[in-house]
Amino acid sequence: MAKKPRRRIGIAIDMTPMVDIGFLLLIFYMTTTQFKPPEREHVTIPASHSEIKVPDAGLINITINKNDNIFIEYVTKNDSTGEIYRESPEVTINTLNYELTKARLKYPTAYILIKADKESHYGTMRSVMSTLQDLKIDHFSLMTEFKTDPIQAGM
Amino acid sequence: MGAVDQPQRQVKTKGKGLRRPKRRIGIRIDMTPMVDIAFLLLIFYMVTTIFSAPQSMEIALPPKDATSPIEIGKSRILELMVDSDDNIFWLHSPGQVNMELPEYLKPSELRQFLIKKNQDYPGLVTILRFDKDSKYETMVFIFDEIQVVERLFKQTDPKWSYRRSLQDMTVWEYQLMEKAKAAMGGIPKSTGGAS
Repeated sequence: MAKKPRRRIGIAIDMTPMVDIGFLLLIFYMTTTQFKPPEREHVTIPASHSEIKVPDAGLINITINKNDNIFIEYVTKNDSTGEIYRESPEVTINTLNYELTKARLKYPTAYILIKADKESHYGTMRSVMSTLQDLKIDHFSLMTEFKTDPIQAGM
Repeated sequence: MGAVDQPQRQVKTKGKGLRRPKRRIGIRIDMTPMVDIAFLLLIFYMVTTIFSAPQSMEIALPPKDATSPIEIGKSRILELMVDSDDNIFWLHSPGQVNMELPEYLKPSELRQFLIKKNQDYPGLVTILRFDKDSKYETMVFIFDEIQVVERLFKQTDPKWSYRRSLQDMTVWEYQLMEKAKAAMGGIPKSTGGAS
């Protein structure tokens, strides 16, 4: 008995539009992407309603992790060779003043940004703020995430 | 992989005015690997890209040496204190009413409370005191609520600014908060903290 040959239906799908869209997306992501800077400490930042964006450059970063350890991170550029160094010494409350002064000498125009974990304690923050006051840095920023709940007027 | 289609050439009779038909080669390239790589790259960029740039909250502190004591009437001072378990208390003694014990405040009610107080007592100065073991999140939460209140008041009066001062906790405040906690028989659970 001869077997009936199985009927095969050849389906041809034109994938050109899909590939087009794929490439468009690829180009979009390639051009807009900014890589996350390598993080030494994982920090979960608190949320606020503030809408001020963090500037991309010109920052001295004070990072406080959830165990209240303090780090300073900043980028320096050698003017003659154009090389960029990222420096991140670990500091304590006692050496913060010294390290911050050192960083500010290399980077006098920098703005201070504090990136602190929400689980860190106010005491650490207080000491950091007090050091900033000692150094006559009256304006600085706290890094926060955007809180989405609307502001109700209720007035 | 690649394949070249060579259509059969049609031999035409040579004649004047008749152009020789152009030779057409249909090239078919298997694009599957290229598309595979493209999609891999696409997924890579989609995963690594950051869309939401973090926001920042601006803080201005008064210079340390310039803090000359300013006399403010007691009726215009609203004290907000946060204990080591992130519970918020407030104390305000306007006029003849003398508040002896601070009162507990739910974090969710803070904004309405601050709006009400600032409406009722123009020129109110809020003094913030945090325990050293309270969470940084609570500090940001209270600062944020104050900024939100300021923003709301600025809608009606652009010159309005929230008068606040960050100060240290003293033994006095600790004692008051302990008394308040004892008087209310403990803090209602699951309301502490900023969130």
